[in-house]
Amino acid sequence: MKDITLGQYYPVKSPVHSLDPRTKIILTVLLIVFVFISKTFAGLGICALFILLVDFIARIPLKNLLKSLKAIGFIIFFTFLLNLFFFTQGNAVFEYGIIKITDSGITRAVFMAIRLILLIVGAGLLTFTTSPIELTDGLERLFTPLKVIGFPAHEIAMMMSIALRFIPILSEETDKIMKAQSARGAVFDQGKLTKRVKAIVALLIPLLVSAFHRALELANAMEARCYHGGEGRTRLKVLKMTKKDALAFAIMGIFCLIIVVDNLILSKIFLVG
Amino acid sequence: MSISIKKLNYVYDPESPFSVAALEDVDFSVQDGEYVCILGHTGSGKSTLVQHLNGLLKPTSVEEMLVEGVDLTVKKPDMKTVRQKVGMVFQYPEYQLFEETVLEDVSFGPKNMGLPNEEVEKRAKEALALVGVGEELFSASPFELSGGQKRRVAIAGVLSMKPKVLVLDEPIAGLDPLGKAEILSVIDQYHKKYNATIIMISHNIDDVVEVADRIVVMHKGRKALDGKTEEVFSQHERLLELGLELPSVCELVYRLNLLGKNIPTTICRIDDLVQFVSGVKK
Repeated sequence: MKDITLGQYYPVKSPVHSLDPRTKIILTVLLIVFVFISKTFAGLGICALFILLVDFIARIPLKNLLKSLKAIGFIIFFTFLLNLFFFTQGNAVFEYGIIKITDSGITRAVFMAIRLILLIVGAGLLTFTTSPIELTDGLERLFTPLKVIGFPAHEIAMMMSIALRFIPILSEETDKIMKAQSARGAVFDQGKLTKRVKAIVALLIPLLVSAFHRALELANAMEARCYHGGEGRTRLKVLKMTKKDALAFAIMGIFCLIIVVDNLILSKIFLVG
Repeated sequence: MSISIKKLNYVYDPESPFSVAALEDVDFSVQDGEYVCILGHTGSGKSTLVQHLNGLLKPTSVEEMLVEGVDLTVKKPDMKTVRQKVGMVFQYPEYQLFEETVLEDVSFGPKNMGLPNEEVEKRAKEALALVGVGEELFSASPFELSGGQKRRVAIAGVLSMKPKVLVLDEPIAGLDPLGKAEILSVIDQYHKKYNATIIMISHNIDDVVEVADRIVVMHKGRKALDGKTEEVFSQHERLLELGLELPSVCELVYRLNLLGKNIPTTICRIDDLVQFVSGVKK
């Protein structure tokens, strides 16, 4: 339960943690784009090195970072298999009935798997180093220009922060109700299906009731404090770009350049897919 | 012996940056039919301790843990038995109500025990009678009831399993004086009628002093005090040191003694004080 409570955020002090969330969001998007653009193994290698470097500066144990792969391990494996079996160009290395595995199929499958892993781990860097609240703050500021076309930036950010704020509360509540119902003999993880469904009902109904209750209380508390939307609202913590952010952008620029150069030169030699 | 625990340790989130030692080397034994109250600050480990009693939490390490004859130190303890023998009423138990009718909700526990239908209904009705919920409410929705009624129905939902040990985590929090008195009297009746062991966590120290045979004080994950009610509450300075409030009677005795009076510190209940001051036995 506690895993959900805290999300992935890993609270240590590091230069990466102290960057402006907007910087981190933009740089993460760039990183993802450039992982996609990389056409060679060397390019992916550079991406991997870059991610490792950032991870090292951010002082996040590599073990934790790799843990985020666990959840999507199956998807990576599945993509690998799809590429392996359905990419039929190139020289066959193995044939059995309709199954045909080619050398470029293998290369492509490995390439795709690495690319996916880098994507997840790269995006993970953002959530590991940025607390959910900073993240929504950053997103709100980034989307603010879109207000002119009627995009409700503030409202969406507010909903996101409320949703995020309620994750630990709801997960604690789930834990509490589960315990209360287990104490009354409900069994959630074994036994006949009908009995388990019944136990889930005993969990979901109280959870829903209390969620509505809390929503109502929160709405009242917000109105009591004169909340009326984003118009004219100032913030406690004003986001500010500093020299550090400029430096981060510069490093990212160099990284992007390397990838572009790599694509232009090396891709002619070892072109993949 | 109802409960016997030796050297219980519990760590929340071990091996993460958030790990917290919640219990450290706690010994906790309770005799059959004892009425024990556990006191302590928020975060002192009270709730963590009681949640071990029916296996909701598994100890990080423990030397011995026997609850109503069930050994909880083995790999696969007999959870079904221990959950039946130890009834647990959580804080704000009204949040666990979910059925369409009061009677059905109270039947949830005994039904899970696998009892035949007639027995389930008999027990549910008995429990509801014990908590003072009249027949006219049996088919009402539990969500329509008042706060005090909900609390009593929720407690009935645990009592209907006829536990030998009844554990209550702040059962009277957030109730008005009348509601508090009602709940305490329900607990007392159950205690006497079935010779049940009662383990109650409470911050209402003036109520605790009147009902408990024994007091256990938790402090920062360790057991700080453990003894007969009069004994524990006679240690005025120690209690204040632990940041606990004194029961009103003890407070009075403490302050009068500071003024140079000589009142026995074992006086902690209102009847004892009246008797001491008036010299008349009740």
